[in-house]
Amino acid sequence: MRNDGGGLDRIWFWFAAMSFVFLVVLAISPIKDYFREYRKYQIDYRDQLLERAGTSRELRDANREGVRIRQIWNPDYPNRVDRCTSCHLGVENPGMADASPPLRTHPMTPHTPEQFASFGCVTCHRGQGRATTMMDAHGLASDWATPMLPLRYTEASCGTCHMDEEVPEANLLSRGRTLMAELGCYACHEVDGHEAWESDAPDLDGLSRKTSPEWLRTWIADPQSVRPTTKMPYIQLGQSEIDSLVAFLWTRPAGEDDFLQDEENPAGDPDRGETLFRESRCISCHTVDGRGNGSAAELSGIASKVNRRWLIEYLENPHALQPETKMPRYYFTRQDLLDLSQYLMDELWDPEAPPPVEQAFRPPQKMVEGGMRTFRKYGCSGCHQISGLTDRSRIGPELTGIGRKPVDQLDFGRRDDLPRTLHDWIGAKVSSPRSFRDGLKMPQFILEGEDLTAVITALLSNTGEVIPEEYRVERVIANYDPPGRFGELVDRYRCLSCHEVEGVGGDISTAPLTVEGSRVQESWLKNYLLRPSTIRPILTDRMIPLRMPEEDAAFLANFMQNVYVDDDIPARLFSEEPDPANVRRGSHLFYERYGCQACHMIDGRGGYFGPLLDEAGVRLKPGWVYWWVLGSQRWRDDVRCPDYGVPDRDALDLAAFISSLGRTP
Amino acid sequence: MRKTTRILVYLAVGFGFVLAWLPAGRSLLFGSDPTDIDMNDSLQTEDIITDDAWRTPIPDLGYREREGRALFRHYCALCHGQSGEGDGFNAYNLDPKPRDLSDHEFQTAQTDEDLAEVIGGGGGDAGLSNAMPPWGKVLGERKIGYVIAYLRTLADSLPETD
Repeated sequence: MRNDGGGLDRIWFWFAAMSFVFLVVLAISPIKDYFREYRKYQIDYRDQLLERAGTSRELRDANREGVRIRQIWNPDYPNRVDRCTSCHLGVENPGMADASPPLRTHPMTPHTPEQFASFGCVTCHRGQGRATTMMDAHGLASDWATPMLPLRYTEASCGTCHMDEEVPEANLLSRGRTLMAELGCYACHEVDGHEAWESDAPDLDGLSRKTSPEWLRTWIADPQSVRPTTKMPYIQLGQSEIDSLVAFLWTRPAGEDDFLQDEENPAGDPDRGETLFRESRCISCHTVDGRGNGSAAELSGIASKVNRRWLIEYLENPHALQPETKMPRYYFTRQDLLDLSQYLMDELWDPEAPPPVEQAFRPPQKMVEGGMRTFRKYGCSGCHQISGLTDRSRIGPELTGIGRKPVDQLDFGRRDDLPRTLHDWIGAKVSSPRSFRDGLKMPQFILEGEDLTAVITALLSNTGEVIPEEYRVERVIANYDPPGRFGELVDRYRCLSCHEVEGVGGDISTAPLTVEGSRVQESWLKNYLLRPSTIRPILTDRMIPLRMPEEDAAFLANFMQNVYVDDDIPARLFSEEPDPANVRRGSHLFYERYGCQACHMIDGRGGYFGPLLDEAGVRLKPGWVYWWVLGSQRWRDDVRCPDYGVPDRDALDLAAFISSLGRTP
Repeated sequence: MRKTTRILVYLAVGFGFVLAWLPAGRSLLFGSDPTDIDMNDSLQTEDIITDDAWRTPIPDLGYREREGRALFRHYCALCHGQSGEGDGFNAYNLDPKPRDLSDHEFQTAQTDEDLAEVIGGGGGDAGLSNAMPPWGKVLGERKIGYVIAYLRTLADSLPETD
């Protein structure tokens, strides 16, 4: 059988047409591939490699670079695939430092270039790792929830794995996290990992014995106008809210009498008071007109805030009035208290403060109740304790995971002017929180310049992501209570407000006490506790004379001598007095070889940054000096005494020389 | 098979291959030429996002300079001064005085390698004052790199020509 020619022709025609359509469809993929952006960059990169190749091997390697998708695959870190290196070709190649992006070398950071393979790119920079076009990969496609972080916020990503407040080599993030804790963000906002945050704002019981309603009104209206360094924010209250708050605060605890007249305290001697103020080194913690350490309250204007009777009571025993205060309890005599308080009341008053009205303030009950509601409404109890209000519930929304919140879940309110990005939203929330809607309660913080960037970075770092355990970096939170009688004395003198022991305590003092027994001699320590001498003249925040009884000093010194020791530090370095020849050699090394006199002063000669060494022989143990010279960063990693890589013999001679200072042979 | 059909088949095959392997009609099919894309793409993106400078200010210093500033203030400013002019509070006791690091001529004369050598190995080894200690063991290469990055920001602007 034979078909007629026309039918066969039709089949051929359809066959040809379908082949054409089929081939066009088939061609789409290779064409798209041909025009990918990365192709151009890869050819560019190969050309640049060829240009820079110095050896035939490099030339061969460069020629072998074909055009292909390159990727970093990390199955451990939630199966991450980053194809960024398809365009960013030179990131691992130190020879491309002068190339233009995207071919340039990645700047050196703690994790680059060694750890590209375990981190990839998206872990730090965000964006869409699997994408292979610029818009998609940078996360600029409208449906991608985590666009690339602008470079200035990249440190936020360090915080995905580094959970601590201080993150090494991430200044901005550390600053932001510190600010968040200091400013009390956690008082209102719940954030995972910060449940244990504690406010250091004062307890508000008994204000009627301490201050005046007028001062309180001015303070609540705008704390920073009274004391610019205060951490209390501007709450933006209305006048009636302020009045009701003052009424409420004035009546806590219930039944207290109001403003007490200073009748029973005779006038003191302000000149002796001034001497006492200086001798007691109050500015080791406080500031006066901005001068001082600044970890405790500014004292100028204090006379306009408190009355003298309260001041005397407080100086006598701060812990009775503010149980959680960092201020130690000095042993002041009655006369000391009268003189010191007289000096403070005479000198440190604020000319702009409203004069107290000499009339009892008895607010109506309705106002008091209104004040309690205001107190609750603004979440004041997040920071301040007050009797009768035990609930410290947080009034702000939880912030865990805020750093990865998709933009379409953010409430921009009336802020139509803001770019629709997470970091701009956070920035505006932090710098002008009430601008979004009416009725918001977040107070106004003063954050400018780098501090603002730092807080935004810290918030962006809170991604709430679950990361593999081996990537997580977190310091074990130390938990140490000094035991027994030692503990009682440490509490009375609040040693841990300044000193660190076993990982707990403050950082005002540069000297942690954990190995104090291996460091200093017991007799010296006892005398130092009784009459602190100047060790580092450059410091404002020096050890304070607590006027403690001799038995307390002896007990403290003896306890530390026996308990706070480290077996790695030689307890006895020399079995007998070191040879004068070694001392001479040590002296030569000190001055000529290592130039220690640049920082240390002996007999009035030398720098005054490091401790004075005049009495080093009675202060320090020779074993300590030896251990120190061999690497002082083992004590604290931020010690500024440089590590010279001193050989053992030099260390012994230096120890011999330094231990001879201040001792009569 | 008719002649036109045969031609059509050849055309289809030819066109398919041409389209697949030759750079043709790129702007027609895909819009702009990929070579038009600014190489500074990420920076450009950033600029669009932050036209509102007061709200999210760009720090004056980049990452490495910021790290360097913290290190400089902690380790160096004691002698070299906060602004690097050699007037730190410990400079008073030193002879010779610490180098004025903001000096423009000094900055241009020294390469990064020169600076790294003195910072890491100390003044003594470089024939300078032994009061300048070696920081190599404490800081390491990377952190010294940060410090140098910051030092470069301390340089005075070019002296005005007469």
